[in-house]
Amino acid sequence: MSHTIKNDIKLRQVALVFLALMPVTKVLMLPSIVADFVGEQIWLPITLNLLFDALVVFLILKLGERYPNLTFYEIAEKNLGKVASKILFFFIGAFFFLKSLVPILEQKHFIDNTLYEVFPNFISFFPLMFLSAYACLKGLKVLGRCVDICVFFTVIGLLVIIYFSVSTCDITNLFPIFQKPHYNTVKAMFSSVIWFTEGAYMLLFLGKFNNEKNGTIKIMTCFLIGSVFVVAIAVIFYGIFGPIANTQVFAVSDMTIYTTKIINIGRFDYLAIFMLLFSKIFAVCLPAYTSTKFFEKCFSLDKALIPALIVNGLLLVAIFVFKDKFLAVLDFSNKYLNWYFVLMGYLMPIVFYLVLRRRKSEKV
Amino acid sequence: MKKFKTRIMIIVAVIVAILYFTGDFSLIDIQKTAIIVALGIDKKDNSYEVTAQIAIPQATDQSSQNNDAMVSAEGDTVFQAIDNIGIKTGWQPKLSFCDLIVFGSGVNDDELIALIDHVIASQKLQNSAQIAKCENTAKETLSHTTALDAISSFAIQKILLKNTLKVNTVSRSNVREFAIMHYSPSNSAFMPLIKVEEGSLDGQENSSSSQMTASTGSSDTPSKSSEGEQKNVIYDATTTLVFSNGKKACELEKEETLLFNLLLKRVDESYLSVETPNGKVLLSITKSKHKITVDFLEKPTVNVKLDLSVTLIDSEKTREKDVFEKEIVSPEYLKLATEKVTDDLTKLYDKLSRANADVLSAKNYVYKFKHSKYNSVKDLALSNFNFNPIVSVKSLD
Repeated sequence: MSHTIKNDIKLRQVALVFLALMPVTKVLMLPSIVADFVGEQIWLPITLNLLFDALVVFLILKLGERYPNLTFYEIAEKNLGKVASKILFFFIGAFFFLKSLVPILEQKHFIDNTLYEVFPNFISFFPLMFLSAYACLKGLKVLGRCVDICVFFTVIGLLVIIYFSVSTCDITNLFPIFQKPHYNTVKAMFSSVIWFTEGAYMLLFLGKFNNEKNGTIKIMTCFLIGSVFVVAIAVIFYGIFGPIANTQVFAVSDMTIYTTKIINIGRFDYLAIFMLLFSKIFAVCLPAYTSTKFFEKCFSLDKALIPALIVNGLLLVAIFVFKDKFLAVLDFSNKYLNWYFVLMGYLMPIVFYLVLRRRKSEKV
Repeated sequence: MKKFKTRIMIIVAVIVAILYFTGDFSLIDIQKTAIIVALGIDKKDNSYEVTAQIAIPQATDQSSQNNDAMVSAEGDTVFQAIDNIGIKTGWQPKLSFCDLIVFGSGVNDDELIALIDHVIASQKLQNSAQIAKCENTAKETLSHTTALDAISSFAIQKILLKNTLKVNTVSRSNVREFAIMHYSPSNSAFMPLIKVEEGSLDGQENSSSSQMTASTGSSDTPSKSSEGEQKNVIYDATTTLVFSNGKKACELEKEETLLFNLLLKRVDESYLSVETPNGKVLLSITKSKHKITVDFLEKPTVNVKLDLSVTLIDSEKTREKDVFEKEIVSPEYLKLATEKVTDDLTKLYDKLSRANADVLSAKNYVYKFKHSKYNSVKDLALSNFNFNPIVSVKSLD
């Protein structure tokens, strides 16, 4: 069974997802949270998590090469059968639904605390969910177009933030390079996993784009550039704040105020922050979108309307219930959900690839 | 069906737009906002007295003096006191423009550290705000009028924030830098001590007569705190308070502060007075390089390397030929300057080691670059370190 090509995405756009949308979710609270665990080695757990993500992207691309022109749904149905694949899709859909919760609440937490003088009416954030619900009804083509625009905002925003903050950075704050006990690094990786596992998005894109020459290299290169931005922001952040980094909740807005360039006139860095927030709108919609698509496949629905309404409706309720309890949500996620993220975001794709690769080899 | 869908979409879009515009976008009504440019914190028995210096925007088509208002309020905590300022004045206090926080003499060391911790964690106050301690109360210090600026906190900031490369007799510190130093392995930090000296720039005893008139704009200035003094004063921030383990360890006077700054940062212009057989000469330090390392020989040794490039600026013998060939400073002067700086450096280090104040970051160095030895020096007093100054004063040419 071949998929319809009506709403396909281009390979360039798939690659740009990892450059335009991946870094923006990791520059708000992640550096501060990781710094709390590992201090000077802030770069290490972030790099290791990104390496795991890169591995997942690579393996899914390799899976796509072994099953050309087939989507992940088709590959799963072919190998696991309809029932087992639907169960798998349900769990993947649930994974992406849970994955969307923290970034949305983080975005709200940041906007409420940084951009408003007094806490705004929580209803003013609701339009984001309407946008998300609308996006969930659309095909991948729309996502691709959004990414084409967002990449400029993300890259320029990050470069401006880096430019304004690098002069204040004392790189010796990151010394010694290796010294903490390793379990701290593992703890940091585990506690921050909710911000990673973007490699699993390739499950959505698999079979939906025409593979070009050096396609894998292009996608991996964009992933690498996005990863470099993330690690650079974390390193500069710790270089600026050193031992008090864990007290600076929002890295990207706290980093840039110490420079004497232009900021003395006004907070021009907020233009860059607004650019990143713009890209983050689409970045926080993406897991809800992916969740909707997997639920659509799980329940064999023709249209995404019902899962889109349910997923975004539940997110809306979550925003209402947890509107000022972001840290409690984070704590709950660390205690009970992170295992699920590791399982579905890292282990599942890797195991899936290894099992199917072996199965395909046996058939041959 | 398509028309119905379109209508539904339009209705939903209108509802979304209404929801979006329910907020006021946090637009600030400037008439109802107190833009706090400086905070003075004093301790009174069991409560805090916070003095806020509030900038008052002037609606005028002509350039005018800065204007401000001083409001004080008390509270069990600093933020409660700030809140009480809002209650007293009817203005919403806005702290994100606060660039100076001064602590009165009554604030003890533990409270000072706790307050700085609170400011770091707070999203309301900027960590880039300069901090200083006052010899008197913060309220009194901020209440003075000064010839430098109509707003006292601006005058203090001018002194603290002069061109970074030329601020050598003032050790400035902001919230972030202080906290980083305090929480570093060296566990030591510093901040300037603001002293108030009576007299204006016109009437200053030791200065040459000034052309500048002391235009304080007092007729336009809303009343300051009624207990504040109205005569012109000059602020002096050349004394540096050094803290170790969260407690005040020692004070550095002006000359010591100058040398201390030479050891902390690059300096492009400063002055060094040297006693020579021909009288006093004034050398201008045009370049400086410093390096502080720690070696582990028999005992841990702090090596302080200081390279200065100087020119001759002035001499008691004004017709001295050297003044006209100032890039070439005589070897005799250079030798005397080297000895003086070495001697002063040794005295400075002795003072710091007696106070066990590792503001030169020796333990930081060990932690970062010789981490395997860190445990052996972590709890070692600074007096157990040897000191090795390596000073070189060279002519610029």
